[in-house]
Amino acid sequence: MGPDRRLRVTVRRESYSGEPGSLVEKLAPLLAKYRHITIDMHGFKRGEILEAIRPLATKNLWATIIVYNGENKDSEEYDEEITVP
Amino acid sequence: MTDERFDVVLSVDRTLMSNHHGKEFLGFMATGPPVMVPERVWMAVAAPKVKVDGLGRPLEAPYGLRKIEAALLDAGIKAAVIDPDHLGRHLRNARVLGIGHHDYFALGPPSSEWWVLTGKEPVNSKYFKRFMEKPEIREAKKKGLKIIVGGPAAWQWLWMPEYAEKWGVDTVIEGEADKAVVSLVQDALDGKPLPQYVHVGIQDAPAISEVPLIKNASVNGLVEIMRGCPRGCRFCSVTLRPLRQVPLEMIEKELLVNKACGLDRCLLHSEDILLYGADGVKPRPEPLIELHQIARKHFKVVGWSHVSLSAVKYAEENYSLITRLSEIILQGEDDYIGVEVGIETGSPGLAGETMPAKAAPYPAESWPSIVKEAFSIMHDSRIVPAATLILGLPNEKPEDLVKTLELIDELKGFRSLIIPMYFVPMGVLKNGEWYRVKPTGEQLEVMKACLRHDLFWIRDLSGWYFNKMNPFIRFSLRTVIFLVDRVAKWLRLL
Repeated sequence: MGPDRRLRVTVRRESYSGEPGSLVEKLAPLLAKYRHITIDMHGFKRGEILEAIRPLATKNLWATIIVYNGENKDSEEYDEEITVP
Repeated sequence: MTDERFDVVLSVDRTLMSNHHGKEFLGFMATGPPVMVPERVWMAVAAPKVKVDGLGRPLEAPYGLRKIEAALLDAGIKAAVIDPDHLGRHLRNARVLGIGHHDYFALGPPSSEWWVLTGKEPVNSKYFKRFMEKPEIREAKKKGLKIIVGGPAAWQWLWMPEYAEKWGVDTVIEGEADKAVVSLVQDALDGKPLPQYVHVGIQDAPAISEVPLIKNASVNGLVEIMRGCPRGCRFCSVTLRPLRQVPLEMIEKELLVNKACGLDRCLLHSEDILLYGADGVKPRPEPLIELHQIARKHFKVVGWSHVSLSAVKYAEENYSLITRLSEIILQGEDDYIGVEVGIETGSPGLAGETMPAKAAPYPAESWPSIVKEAFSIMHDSRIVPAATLILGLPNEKPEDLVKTLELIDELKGFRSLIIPMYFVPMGVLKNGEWYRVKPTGEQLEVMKACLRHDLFWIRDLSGWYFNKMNPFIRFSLRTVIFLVDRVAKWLRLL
C-alpha cells in the first residue's frame, strides 16, 4: 500500500513538448509516492489532454489520478504542489 | 404515461443493451462485423432489442450500468438506465449522460481480431459511433449535457482522443467507479467544473460493503460474486484489483432483485467462480455448494461466467466438486452449462512467462496436461468450456504455436469451443494502422485448427443450444454456420 499523501501537479501547454508520453515519463517517479494526484493542465484542448496522459493506461496505478482541463479550484489540501517541468 | 424526469440518464448502444436472446454467448457476435448475412440480421441475432417499460427503461440492462444506477439512487440522485431508442424525451431534461462499454472502439479482444481478419469494422464500434451521433444526444450536448464515460473499455478514449473532442465527452473515468461516480455526478449537477480524466486507484477501489446492490434487473440475471483475481496474468487488468468476495446474503439480495423483475435465470459472475470462498487458489466445497444451492433455489437456469482450468482439476480431484456442482445446476440428462475458460497458450514455457500462477496450485510447466484433464472433467460433467487462446503474446515464438496446435489436437474429443484472440500490443494502436497487422503463418494454422474444432462441436451442441430459440434466430444461426462451413471448405481451411 502506498502512502496516504496528496500531490497537485500543474502543467502548462507552452512547456509541454507535445510528445505523448513525455508528461507521464516526468510524472512516473511520483506515481507510487502519492495516493491522490491531481493534475491541472493549462492551455490544452480536450483531445490533447487525453493524448498526453495516454501512457497511464498501460501502467499499474495504485494512485487515484484526476486530470483537469485548466485550474481546478477545489478546496483540497495537498502535501505537495509542483509544476512540470 | 408519466413524465418522470431523471437528472442522470445511463445508457449504451444496442450491442450491449440487449439480453442476446438469453444466451450471452450470442453477444460475442457483436464483437465482429456481419459475416455472410446483412447487418440487420446479424444484429437481430446478436443483440435484439430489450423489453422496456412506459418510460423506456429496459427490463434488463448491463450489470455495470445497474451498479452505477444503484450508487446514484442510493445517494439520492434521480438516475435511470434508459434504452438507447428512448433517449430523446429524457435527454430534454437530463443534465448528465453516463455511458459504460466493454469495447467502445473495438480495440479489445476479440473485436480487434475480427477487424484484423476481415478488414471490416465490428458492429460494436459502428453502433457505438452511431449512438454518439444520435440527434437527441447532439442536441442535448449543445444545451449543456455533461457526458461521462466509463466501464472496462474506458482506456480506449485515451487512444481515440479525437472522438472525445468531437462528441464533447466531459469525463473519462477508469477503474471501479461505484463510489467515485457519485461525487463526480454531484459536481456535474452542481455546475462545478468536471475533471477530464479520473483513474480510480487500486487503493481507492471500494470495499465490498461500499459496493451498492443493484435495484433493477441485470442482463440474463448476472450477479457478481467476487471482484479481482489472484492469478496475476500479465495480459489481464482484472488481476491488478484486490480480490474481494461478495457475502452470500448480498448475492442473494441481487438474485432476488432479478427474480422480482421476472427473470427465470441467473448468471454467477467472477473471474473464477470456483474460487468463491477458496483457500487461496484451492477451491473449497462448502461455500460453493451453498452458493449454488441458493442460486438454484431461486432460478431454474443457473449459469457461470468464468472458471479457471486449474481450479476445475483441483476441485474434482480433491472433492468431486465439479460433479456435485453440475448435479445441482443441470436440469436433466440433455442439459449442459457453458462457461468461459482461458487456455491462452499450449506452451508451458510461454505459460510460465506470461501467466505463472494460472496453473496454481500446480506447476506452470504442467499447463497443457491441466488443460486436458480439466476439459475431460467438464466433458464428463456436461459443462461446455468456451476457451480462449491468445495469439501474439509478447515473446511468442513459432514453437510455442506448434505446442498450442498439439494441444488443440489433444482436445478434439472434448465438447468445447476454442476461440483464438489476437493480442494487439498497445504500442501498435497509436498509428491508426493497427488493424492492418497480419497474423503469422503459425497463428493462421492455430486459427484454422480452432475453426475445425468449433464447427465439429457446434453441430453436436446445436440441438441443446438452439432449443426453445426463436425460429427466425435459429434459422439465421444455422444459415451462418452452414455458410461458414461451406466457405471454409471452399477455401481449404478445413
